[in-house]
Amino acid sequence: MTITESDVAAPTTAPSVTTAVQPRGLYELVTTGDHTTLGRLYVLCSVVFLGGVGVLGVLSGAEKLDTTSVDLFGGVTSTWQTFVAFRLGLVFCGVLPLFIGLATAIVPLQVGSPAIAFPRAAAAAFWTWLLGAGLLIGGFAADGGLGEAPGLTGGTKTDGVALTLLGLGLLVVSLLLAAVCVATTVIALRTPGMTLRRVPAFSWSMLVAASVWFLTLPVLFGRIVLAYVDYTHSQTLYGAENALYDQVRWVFGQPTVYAFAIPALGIVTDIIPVAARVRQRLYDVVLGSIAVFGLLAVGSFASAPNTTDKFVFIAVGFVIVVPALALFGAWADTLRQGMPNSTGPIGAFGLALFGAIALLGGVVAGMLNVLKPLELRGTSAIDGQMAVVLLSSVMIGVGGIVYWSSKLTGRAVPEGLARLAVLPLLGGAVLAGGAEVIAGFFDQPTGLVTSPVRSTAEAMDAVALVGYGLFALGLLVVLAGVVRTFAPRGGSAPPDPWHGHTLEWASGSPPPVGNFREALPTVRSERPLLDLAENGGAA
Amino acid sequence: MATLIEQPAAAPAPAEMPRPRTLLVGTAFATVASVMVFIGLFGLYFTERTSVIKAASPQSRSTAWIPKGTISLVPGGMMFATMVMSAITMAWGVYSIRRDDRPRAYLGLGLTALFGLAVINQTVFYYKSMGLTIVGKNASLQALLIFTITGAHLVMVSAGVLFLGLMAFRALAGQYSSRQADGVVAASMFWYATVAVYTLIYFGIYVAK
Repeated sequence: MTITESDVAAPTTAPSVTTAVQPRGLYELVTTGDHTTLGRLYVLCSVVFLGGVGVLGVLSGAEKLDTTSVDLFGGVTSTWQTFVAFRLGLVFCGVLPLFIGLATAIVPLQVGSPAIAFPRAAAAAFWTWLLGAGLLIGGFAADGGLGEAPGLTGGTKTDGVALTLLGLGLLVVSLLLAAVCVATTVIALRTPGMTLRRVPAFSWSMLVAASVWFLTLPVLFGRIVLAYVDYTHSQTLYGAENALYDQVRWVFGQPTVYAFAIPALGIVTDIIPVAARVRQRLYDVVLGSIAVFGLLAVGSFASAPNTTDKFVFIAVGFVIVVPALALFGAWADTLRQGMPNSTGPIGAFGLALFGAIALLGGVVAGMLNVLKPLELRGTSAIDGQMAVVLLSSVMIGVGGIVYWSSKLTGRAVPEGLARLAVLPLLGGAVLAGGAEVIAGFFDQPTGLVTSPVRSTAEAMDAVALVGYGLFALGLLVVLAGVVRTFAPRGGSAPPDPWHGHTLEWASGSPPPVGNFREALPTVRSERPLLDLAENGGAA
Repeated sequence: MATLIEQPAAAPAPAEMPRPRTLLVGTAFATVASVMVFIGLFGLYFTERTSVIKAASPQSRSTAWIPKGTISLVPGGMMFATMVMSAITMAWGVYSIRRDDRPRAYLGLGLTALFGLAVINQTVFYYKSMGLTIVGKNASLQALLIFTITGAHLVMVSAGVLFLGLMAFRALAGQYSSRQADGVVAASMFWYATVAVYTLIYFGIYVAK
């Protein structure tokens, strides 16, 4: 059987159910196509990588503190590589795999499917991603990275750069393959009665996100291939040592950076009504807003040179605030109906809500960045906006881990640790990103700072450094909580610890093989379990 | 004795929502992603081409991007004809499998795969006859973009042939029929995208120069 075969049918009858999936030994782990195991592996690896990325952020911030010399890492080249590694690591080893991992584990449960579509492809995607991450790290370790800083040459080794490009290409392809599996599950494997309007918000946001990634990441892959071909042959054009970063730079700016935050919107929408114990208000508006946000985040056009002056670029920077505000309106209206109490998922709620507020701040910062009179283009405000958007997305993703931890590992992340992580993660995201945005107002340039800047900007760099440190600390707390859920001692979590509204809570903790012990009844709304609880009738 | 009109033993099952098939949906997503690679590369190609042509003197604009005689149109035209024929045989294969005409379905799929292999062979020949290089002092922007785009298409054709071969073997094993032809239809979807991309390469790069 090959990866093109999917023996998963839309679930109409009760699947054969045995006990929960627990691969024994390395061979079973490597060859498993079980979506929960794969999701678990993604989440664990991405949290570990994010911790490493946090350390890189701290080191980069420390280097910025003394702008009179670039010597913390032994020269400009190493400093530049740290800067690039931080960005690549944050997106391709942290944010994207975190959401893909959550989706791989949770989306099949949410749509009532016994498995993920193309389980072998999903497994191949994970291991390829891990290999790509290894090659990327190896490339940087071999003094490669993405070449030299603009204006410099000769500081990086050929093989190391080629290895980095290869690793990055593998990362992009594997994440796309994983996204194909998730999106196909949402489209083709929904349980009877679950129309697209009744799909849970996280699954919907993953469908939107995957669609946007299909339109964006292949363009990046093409640029990587072009750079690789040139770098390994003549190194004169796209593959010139100091032009390599330009091929991927657009991914970290708006609107593309919003594409990585789309799943976060779905997570917030799933957590808030459960924490508030009420039905999500204006659900169609929420789904529509996520779709419009995704549509505006298609950033392939930004890969062309000199796009920041184009009307489309400026318009997107403004218009994308509208769906973001519409989402906030719907969430606020839901919270008006009922407030969370101490028996609900307070830790996950805090992470999701405050992460969403920080994300809105990032979107507003993006709007400021495109305003011509403010002259923020080319300043560190661009870096700050990226940091706020991505770090707040990570924070919401962490909320998702906490919320669904019983489905991921069978044990819940301790509520105390989750609540403890809220403040450092929020403080980290706001300080790290916000300080760089403010430094942009004082003309601090984007990227590497090699010349003295105003003292206010220097002060902001110190604040950003504290922010990255706080964020790394918050991730450490989360990692401790995640590791505790893997510990063999302690009993399993109940199937539905939060009185959830969507189908994943009808499954066991962790889900058994086939996901559901009984055939699911026809779904009649977007909140089948809430219907069941309210009416005591069919969902 | 059986009655003339059989009464159903039970009420008919409620109509279920029709679901798109898994393999078709997955292939559609993968095809979109594959095509986007080329759209990105073409965007870059035409941007660079336009800027070089704009910078050239009015007299030399027609040959500013690719000098005369660098790329012969004959092999490219042959490849285009081969790709068009492969699209026809592919459609024939799908048409036949949907009518349970297995011999013709195998013939259609086999011919399509053969045309695909021929295109790979022709591309290698084309590379050798082109007066472009990406190595050394004579390396040029045009060569880099053309070799990357056509090389990526070569990979796409190879993937298409593999996919097609796999689905043809499954069809041989009796997996696909008029009731369920998803695998073959999915392979055809990817193949048509391959043909469409080559059409753009042929007219956008080889003919327009």
